[in-house]
This record gives sequence, C-alpha cells and structure tokens, in this order.
Amino acid sequence: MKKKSQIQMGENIAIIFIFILLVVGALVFYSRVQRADFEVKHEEDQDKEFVQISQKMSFLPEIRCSQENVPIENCIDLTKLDKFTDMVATSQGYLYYENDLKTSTITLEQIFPDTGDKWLLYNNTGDKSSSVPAYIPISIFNPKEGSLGEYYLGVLIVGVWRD
Amino acid sequence: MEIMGLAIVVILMAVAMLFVVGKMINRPQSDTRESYLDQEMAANMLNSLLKTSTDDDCRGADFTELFQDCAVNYPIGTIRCEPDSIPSCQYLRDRINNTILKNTTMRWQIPHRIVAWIEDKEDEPILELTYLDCSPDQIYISYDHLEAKLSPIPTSIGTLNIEFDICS
Repeated sequence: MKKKSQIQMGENIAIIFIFILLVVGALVFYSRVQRADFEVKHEEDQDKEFVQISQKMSFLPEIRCSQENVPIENCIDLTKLDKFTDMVATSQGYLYYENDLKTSTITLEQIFPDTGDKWLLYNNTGDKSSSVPAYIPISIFNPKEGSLGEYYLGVLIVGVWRD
Repeated sequence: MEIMGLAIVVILMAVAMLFVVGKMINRPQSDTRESYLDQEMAANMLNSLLKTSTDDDCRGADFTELFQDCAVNYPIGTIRCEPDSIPSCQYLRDRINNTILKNTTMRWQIPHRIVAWIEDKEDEPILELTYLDCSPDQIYISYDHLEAKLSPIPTSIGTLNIEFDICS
C-alpha cells in the first residue's frame, strides 16, 4: 500500500514537472514570436521614415525650382542649392533641419552632362552605424545658362542611418 | 489518467505552435521602401530625362526635341550633335545608354527598359533599350512586378510615346 502511494506521488510530481516545462516552453515561444513581430514593425517604421525624408527633400521649398512662382516638381535649383548648403552649415540651420531630416545623409550628384559635380546637402549620422543609400533621379536647373536656364539630369542619394 | 490528459495538452500545444510558425513563415515582408523607390525611379527618370538639355552638344536642344526630331526623320534625324556631328537618333541611343543609364540604373543593377514609338506603331519602336531582360513579357517569368511610366510627346506625324519600365 505504501509502495503504491509512493508510486502515485512520484507520477503526480513527474506530471507537474512536465506541465511546468510545457508552460515555460510556451512562454519562451511566445516571447520569440513577439520579438519577431516587433522587428517587422520596426523595419516597417524605418521604411516609412525613409519615404518621409526622401519626399521632404525632393519637395523642399528652399531648393525647389519654380517658374513665375509656380513650383516645378522633382527639380532642384542650383542657385538656391548654394544658399541652402551655406545655411545648413550653420548650427542654427542644422538644428532646424535636423527635426525633419533626422539621421540621414543626402547628396546630389549630376549625371548629365557628366561633369562629376556633387553637393552634400545634409549629413547627420547620429550614433547609428549602417545606411543603405537610395537613388532618386531628379532634374537640376541652372538659371545662369542658356537664355531661359538649362536642365541637367541628377540623382538625389538619400541614406537613412540605422543601428 | 493524468498522463492521458497531459498527452492531450502536449498535442494541442504542438498544433498551436505549428499554426503560429506557419503564419510567421508566410507573412509578407515589408516592401514600402522598394515600392516607393520603383515608382519614383520610373516617373522621375523619364520626366528628368526629357527636360535635360544637351548643352552645346546639339546646339541647346533638349532630349524631348531630339526624340521629336528622331521620330519625324527616322531612322537618322536631322539635328546634328557633337562630337563628330552625329545625327539625333544615334546621339539619343549613345547618350541614354552609355552615359545616363550606365551611370544610374545600370550602376545600381536595376532591370529597366526604355522604349519610344509612334502611336499605333508599337511594333516598330524608334528606340528600345533593355537591361537585364526587363520587359512586360518577363513578368511572372523572371520578375514579379513592372513599374511603368509613359510620357506622350506631340510630333507632326502623331503622338510619340516614350515609356520607362522598372522590373523587380
């Protein structure tokens, strides 16, 4: 009788132990699933931030082309660009644009005519370590050339810095 | 009896985990960035290209005027461009392929296609440049998606359609 009850007690303890293991395993699995969900959401948020920064830069009124006060899409005016880069170089200007452009590096490169000209518009790497640049074709307008100005083909290189 | 109950709990948990793992594997990856870039690339590349001036090469003509001249006077064109006084059709092919696309979409390894044709003559394009076999025929074969941007340009012989495609 004593032996039977001891065996029964042993079985109960084993079952409770296995049950506890199952609960712990389920909790670990759940936390892994949550972490994966969080990483996907984090990546989506970073992608959205990249799109926002690219759009802001492409349509920035301070450097956007205009003709008789009518803004022209996807175009950067060279004369405005020079003033813009001078302004961003000041601490006040840098702080002003840091809110919108966050931790990113934005460069403009002229492709045609192939003069090799490049302009660094904004650079803030923060404490982040990696950046995957994206390339957005854009027109560059030089009002000083030709009778009504000339358009060149350029590329806006936008790199948003991440951990 | 308890062991049977435990076995049922284990089976139920295994089924639930399989279901969750299956859902995680089949979840689509975020493509916000890629979709945005493909759309911007196709639209902006064509718009910017057509506005671009040839500077002193073709006496100040821009690429729109070169396309128009090439279409009306196909297959050579009447506008002569430096260096070597090459005709507009040849200048378009050379500069677009060997300078512009080479330093942009080819450098970034982006499959693309640019094609120009007079309306109703789609089978006889005046210009067609393809990279990495990007074309509507290759959708669902080599590529999943094609982002296309079309610009119509008026000419004296009809509307000239210029299309820029990005394949992904």
